[in-house]
Amino acid sequence: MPIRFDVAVLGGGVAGSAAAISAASRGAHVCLISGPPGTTAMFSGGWRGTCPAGLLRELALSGYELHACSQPLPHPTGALISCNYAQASHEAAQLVDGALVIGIAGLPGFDAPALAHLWSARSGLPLRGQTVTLEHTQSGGWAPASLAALIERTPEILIQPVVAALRQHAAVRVIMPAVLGVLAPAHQRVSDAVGLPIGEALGVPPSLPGWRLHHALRRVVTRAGVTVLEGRGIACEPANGRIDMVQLSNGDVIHARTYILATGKYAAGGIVANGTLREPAFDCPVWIDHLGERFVVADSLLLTDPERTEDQPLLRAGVHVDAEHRPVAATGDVVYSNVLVAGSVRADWSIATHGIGDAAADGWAAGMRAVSA
Amino acid sequence: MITRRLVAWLNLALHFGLHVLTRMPLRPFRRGRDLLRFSETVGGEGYLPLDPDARGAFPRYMDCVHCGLCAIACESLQAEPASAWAEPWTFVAGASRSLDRAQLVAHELPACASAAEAERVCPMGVPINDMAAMIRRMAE
Repeated sequence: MPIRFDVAVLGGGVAGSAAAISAASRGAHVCLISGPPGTTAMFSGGWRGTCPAGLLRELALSGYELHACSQPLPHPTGALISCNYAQASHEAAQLVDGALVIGIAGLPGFDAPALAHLWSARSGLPLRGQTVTLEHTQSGGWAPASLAALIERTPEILIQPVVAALRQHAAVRVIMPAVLGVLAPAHQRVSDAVGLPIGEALGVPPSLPGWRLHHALRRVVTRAGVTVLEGRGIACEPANGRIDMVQLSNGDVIHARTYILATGKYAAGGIVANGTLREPAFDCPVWIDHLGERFVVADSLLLTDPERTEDQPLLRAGVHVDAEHRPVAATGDVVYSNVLVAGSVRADWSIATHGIGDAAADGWAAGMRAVSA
Repeated sequence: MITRRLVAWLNLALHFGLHVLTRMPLRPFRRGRDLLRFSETVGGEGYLPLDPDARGAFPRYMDCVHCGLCAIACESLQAEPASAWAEPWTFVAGASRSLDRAQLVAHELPACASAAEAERVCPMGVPINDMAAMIRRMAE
């Protein structure tokens, strides 16, 4: 049975969620069509780019507070990442003279002495690192989610080893891996018990900070009265340059006055690269302008930069838009007048050029535009 | 230095020539034995032959991007302390690149390997439950 909405948002990441919240807060009847979590759920915890004030407020009301960051935050790759916002648990990990980096034995990807050395070299601040062993340490190493749940339930298992480490190395702050809780980091409880600020470094997949943001967005979307439908858009019915309906992978058929395409790029399934580049929901044209040519066929040799740390052209593929964020063909003509495109599904949008905050702002603006359209 | 390298090359060439002359003419008569010998060699390391169904499904298993969301979503992993080997993506990632961990992980396949939640959150749609079943079959 067809279901009708004012606005249908495709994509449940940060851009799609922001769009849905923005449109719903302006009185629209909105649905959010969401497949499995995408790159938003792999978020490191360091929010790059602005955050719309309305979204910031709604996230805080749902228990997910973002604070402005004044310094770069430590990342488990050894880098220091400049961020605009972060949760308090990450903010407490800002590097200071005399900070102690503490790793957990059996937890992969966080070698505290090595990271202390790398972060020290990059910041110029003297840091030390030590690894502590917790009760219940598993012989095969910790599953990060299991460890995080255990710390969230019983922060005491962390307090004693941290206190013991601080007896050996006097410190003014402790930086730990981002496993101090699954949805609610226990950093404050541990800080209070230890008597020092305890912070979480940024995360890498499997990223608990990303999982926290994913759930916070879902809470805000639900609070805003948005109908969440699980599935992906797999077919649509275009007529006279407009989309009339979209069929979901779960069989539902959705009719809406305006559609917002915020399905992300490759990992989220917003763009499929399988011989050619394709946008599966509305079949919007996808291409990359690179080396003076336009590519719709994903030629891996031409579209990857031999320097792996550089921005990869393939990651900039996506749906081109006009000034009003409507999808356009290579000729510049608008493809669908009632579709708005937001976030990383857009062309010339990659992790190197845009942060998660840019996606949120883009989605928020699309939600406003959808209501006023 | 050059002489030693030359001797090494000649030695290699000699053994390759002997291989071509002595083994290759017999190859048509030894096919079964060669396959058996190969299977015995790699089987001990966990590389097991796949049945046609598993071979057909394998490209989807290889879609894993190592995001680990299946492990974070797995509620049974959070209920009590668990090792990295209990994470669904350990065997998904293992089998997506090679099968060397199949026998090892099959001993303690986590409860979430057959839970809908782990499969539901996979952004790449890897059929985790099917994969767990395949690993169990291989371990038997």
